[in-house]
Amino acid sequence: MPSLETFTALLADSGLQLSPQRVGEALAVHSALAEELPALRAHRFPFLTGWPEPAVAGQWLENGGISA
Amino acid sequence: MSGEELADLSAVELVGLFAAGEAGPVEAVQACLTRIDRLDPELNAVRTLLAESALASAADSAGRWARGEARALEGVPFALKDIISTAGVPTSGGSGLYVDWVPAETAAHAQRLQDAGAVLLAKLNTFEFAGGGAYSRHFGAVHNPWDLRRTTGGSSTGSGAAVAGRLVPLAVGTDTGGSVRVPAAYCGITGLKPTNGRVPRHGVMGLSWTLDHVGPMTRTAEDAALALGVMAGFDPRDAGSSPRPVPDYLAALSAGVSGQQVGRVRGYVEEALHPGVRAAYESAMADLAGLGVEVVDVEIPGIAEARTAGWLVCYAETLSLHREHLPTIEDRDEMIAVTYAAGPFVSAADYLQALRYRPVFQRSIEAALTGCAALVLPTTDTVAPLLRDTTAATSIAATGPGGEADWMADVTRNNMPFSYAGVPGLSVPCGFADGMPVGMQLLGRPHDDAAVLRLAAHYQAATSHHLVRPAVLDTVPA
Repeated sequence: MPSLETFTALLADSGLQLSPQRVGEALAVHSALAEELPALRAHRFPFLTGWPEPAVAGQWLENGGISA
Repeated sequence: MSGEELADLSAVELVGLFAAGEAGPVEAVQACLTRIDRLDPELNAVRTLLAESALASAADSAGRWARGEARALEGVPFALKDIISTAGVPTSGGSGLYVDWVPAETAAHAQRLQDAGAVLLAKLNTFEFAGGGAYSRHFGAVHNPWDLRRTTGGSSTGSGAAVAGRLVPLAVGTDTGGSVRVPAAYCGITGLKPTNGRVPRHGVMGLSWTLDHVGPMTRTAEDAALALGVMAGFDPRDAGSSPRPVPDYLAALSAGVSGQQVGRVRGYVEEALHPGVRAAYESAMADLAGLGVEVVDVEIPGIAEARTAGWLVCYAETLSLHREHLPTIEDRDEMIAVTYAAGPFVSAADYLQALRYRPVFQRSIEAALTGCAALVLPTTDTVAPLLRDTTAATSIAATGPGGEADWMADVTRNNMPFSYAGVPGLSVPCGFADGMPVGMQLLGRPHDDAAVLRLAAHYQAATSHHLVRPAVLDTVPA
C-alpha cells in the first residue's frame, strides 16, 4: 500500500496541485480499494485480442484513419 | 379529482384518466404544483420550477387529447436531474460553477420525453456534478420524504425525493455507480439503470464515459417501462449509443413470469446486510416464489474486483473530464473533491487493467444468468443514513461495512459492479426496515431490460410496498 509520502511525490510529478488534506483523502480512498487490487492486477490478458479499449481509436486505425 | 389527488397517480394512471376524459393535463400539472408548494420547502428536491411553461405545455396537451392526437406521455408532468441540459432553462449541474448556465440545447432523451407529450415541470437538485455528496454548499441537502433527517441517497437526490414525495410521477436520474438505484431504494421508488447504451447521454454532464447511464425513476415498473420506451434509442452524438431497435417495453410486461428461474446472488452482496434489510429481502424472495418464480442460488465470481475496477475507471475518467475544475477543488462539494483527488493516483496500467477486466466480469454474469430470466440482490446493505452521517470524512473513516456512517461503501457495494458491467439493473421497493424503505435489485441480460421490468411489474401487482405513502404527505400542512 502506498504511503502519504509516495502519493505526495507522485503528485509533484503530475503537474497537479492538491492540499495535504486532499492527498490524505486520496490515500484513504485508494487504501479502501487496496484489498482487491492485487487480484485485479493478477489477471493476464492476451496481447492482440480482447482489448476493448481504445476500441474507437482501433477502429479509426482499421479504417485507414477515416472517421466513420 | 381535485386538489393534490392527481399528483398521487402514476403516469399510466394519468394517461388513462386523460384518455377517458376524466381529468386533464392542466389539472395534473396544477396538482403537482400544489404538492410542490406544500412539500418542497421540507424536501428541497426542486432546483428550478417551470410552472408557467409547464401550464402552457399542459394546455397544448389538453388540445391534443381533445383532437385525438395524444402521444405516449401526453400531458404527464415530469422532472429532470439538473445535470441534464434543457434549452433556455438553467442547468446548474448541482454546482456553483454552472449556477447561471443556460444551455442552448436539450438533452437527447429529455427532448424525446417532451416530443412524446411529457410536460417538463422542474429541474431537480443533485449531488454536485453527480458526485458531490449529500450536502451541497450552494443548494443545501435534499431530504428523504420518509424521514427528513435522512439522505435520499444519490446522486439523483432530487429525483428520488420528488417521485417519493409525489411531486411528479416521473423523474430522470443518472447512474454511474448506483445513482439511480440507490435513491430509488432509499426513497421507496422504482429506479431503472438501463443497459449501457440504451438511453443516449447527449446533453448530460458526464463523470465517466464508460460508466454513466440515464434512467427513469418512477413509482411503478409500468411507468418505468413506458418512459424507457420513449427515452431509448440510438443517437449519433453519443458514441456509446446502441443502434438496436427499441421494443415495446410496456407491452412486454403482460407476458407471464411463472415458471421462470431467478438467480439469487449469494456471497459478497449479502455479507453486510442490516438485519432489517435482510428480513425484508427474505420476505421478497418468498413473494417472488409466490409468483411461481423459482429462486435459485447463484454466485458471480469477481464482484469485489469489479467494484474496485469500476472505481478506478470512475476516478480516472472523471479526472480526465473534469480536470479544468481541479484548480477550484476547494470550492467543490466534499465528495466530488475527494473523487477529483483520487484521480491522479490511478496508474495508467491499473486503468487499462480495469478496462480489460470488464469482459471477464461480464462473462461471470453471463454464466450466472444461465437458465435464469434475471438475477436478484439487495440494492443496498442498509436503509438511508442520517444526513449528519454522510460526510466524506465519516465515509472514509468507516472501516466496517454495514454501519450507517459507512454509506459510500454501502452505496457502491451492490451497484458499481453492475454499472461497470453495463447490464440493466432495476431497484424496486421490497419492504421496510426501521420505518425506511428497502430496495431489491433485479439484473438482466444486456438489452433485455424488458425481463427485469416484467418481473418487477408482476412483483408489484402482487405486493403493495411501492404503494405505501410517506407520512410527510399527510403531516405537512398546506
